[in-house]
Amino acid sequence: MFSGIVGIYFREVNILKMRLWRSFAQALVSPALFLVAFGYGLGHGRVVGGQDYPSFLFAGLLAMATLNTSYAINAEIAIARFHYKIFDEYLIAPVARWQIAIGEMLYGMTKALMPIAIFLVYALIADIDISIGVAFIPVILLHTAFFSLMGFSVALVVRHHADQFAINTFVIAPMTFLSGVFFPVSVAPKAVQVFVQLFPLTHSVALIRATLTGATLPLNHLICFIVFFLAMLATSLLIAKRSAG
Amino acid sequence: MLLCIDKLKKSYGAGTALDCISLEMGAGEVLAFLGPNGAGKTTAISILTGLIRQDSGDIYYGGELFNPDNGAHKRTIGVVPQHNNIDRDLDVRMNLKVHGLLYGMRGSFLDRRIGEVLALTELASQANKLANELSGGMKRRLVIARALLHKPKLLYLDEPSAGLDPKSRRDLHTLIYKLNANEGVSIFCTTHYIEEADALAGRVIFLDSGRIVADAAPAELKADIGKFAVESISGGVPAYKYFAEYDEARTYMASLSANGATMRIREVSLEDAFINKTGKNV
Repeated sequence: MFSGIVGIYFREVNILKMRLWRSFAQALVSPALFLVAFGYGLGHGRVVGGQDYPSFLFAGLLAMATLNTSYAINAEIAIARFHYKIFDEYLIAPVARWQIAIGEMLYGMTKALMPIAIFLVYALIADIDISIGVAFIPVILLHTAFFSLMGFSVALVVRHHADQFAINTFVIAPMTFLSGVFFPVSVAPKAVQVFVQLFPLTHSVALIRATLTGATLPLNHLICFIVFFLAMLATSLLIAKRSAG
Repeated sequence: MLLCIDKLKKSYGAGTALDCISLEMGAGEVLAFLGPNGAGKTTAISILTGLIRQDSGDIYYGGELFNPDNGAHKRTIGVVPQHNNIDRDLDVRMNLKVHGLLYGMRGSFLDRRIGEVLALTELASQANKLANELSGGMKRRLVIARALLHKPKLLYLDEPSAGLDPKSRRDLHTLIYKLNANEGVSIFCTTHYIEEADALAGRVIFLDSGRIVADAAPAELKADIGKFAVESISGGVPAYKYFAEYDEARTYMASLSANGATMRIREVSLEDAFINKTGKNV
């Protein structure tokens, strides 16, 4: 019944296994640099949002790293689609198109487990003050599911690699810098505060930060992010349905 | 009928890729779509396998209207695309396993079937090798093994021997012959290699600018224009004339000899038949 999800997930995970150490090493470096340079360098001794800055930054960097890892499946799918034509194999198989989207989403979520594991180790090493609540697991799963689906959709919509770079420049980078990863949205100019509500990351960062500080989940962000997720799910399924080789 | 195509049309913008194609194919047939690049061969296969949708017209498999969203219809067919779209980072067995899982095959049944297709395509000794380490001919056989895994009744081969060396090409032809003769798989193959169509197919369809211009057995297509060809080259320009009898051809050639052209008499080929029908080279 779910042969498409099983087959696609099996393929992707086996390829990930082949490249595991390389992928793991890549996921290791960037967060450590950000944490040291921003958290302990520029932000040394500062208190932000009621927390010491490294602890504040930690939640943002975790959200950013998991976003990058899960969204990055778009490059793999694009190569499989345009270069190796492996995507055609899915389209020809007796597989409902929605299963392709879900199979790839599950792969992106699995891949994002790497930075999560790395960050938990960093938290221990750097003595980051976090308190992981039970809501952390569903929130981080929802966050990685959203950005995996976004990566999947982008891979199927773009017609050229250059378009992918444009999306990174005009969507991913501004979202990462303005959505509360590095500083609280509340200190930004009012217009920016309003604008960044359109970024799903603004809401997922707020949720992830709440689950790491023992705070109550902010209901407004939770509702907004669920709406974003459902919209992305519907969009991905529609794009998958219309996809051609 | 295993396959019935009824008035299939497909356009890309202002260009017509397929212009009202109709044909029927029986079980056990080996059919070759022969045409130059851009004739519409790959578009036809893409539509017949559900990869893209036609603008109009219908396709029937075993009398049932083909619905690309119907899994049972898709299990009827196996596809060997023009491009070797295998996972280069996975080994041979794993490539087959992914395909099997996509087709709902599981456990010991899948493992047994993988063993069978590896033996059939003579890849058993390469089972644990990364696909990227295979030769061009072996990669092609892996794509064929993958297409056969779920036991399709009809196998689509899109330019099966493109890019292969002569030895690999010959081995591939032997494999295709075996699949049809021993395994009972019907073959629908596109090619622009005349000799491939002539060697493999019991029936050849000439496709030109999206239209079927001839549909018959290779021998019939050749017999349509004669048995012997006089090929004369004068001033670097070749000319061909066809005759039913050798003596007629010889008389004609004798009449030309005074002109100083280079000439020879040979048997009519499938290429002659194609050029005669379309006015183009394949």
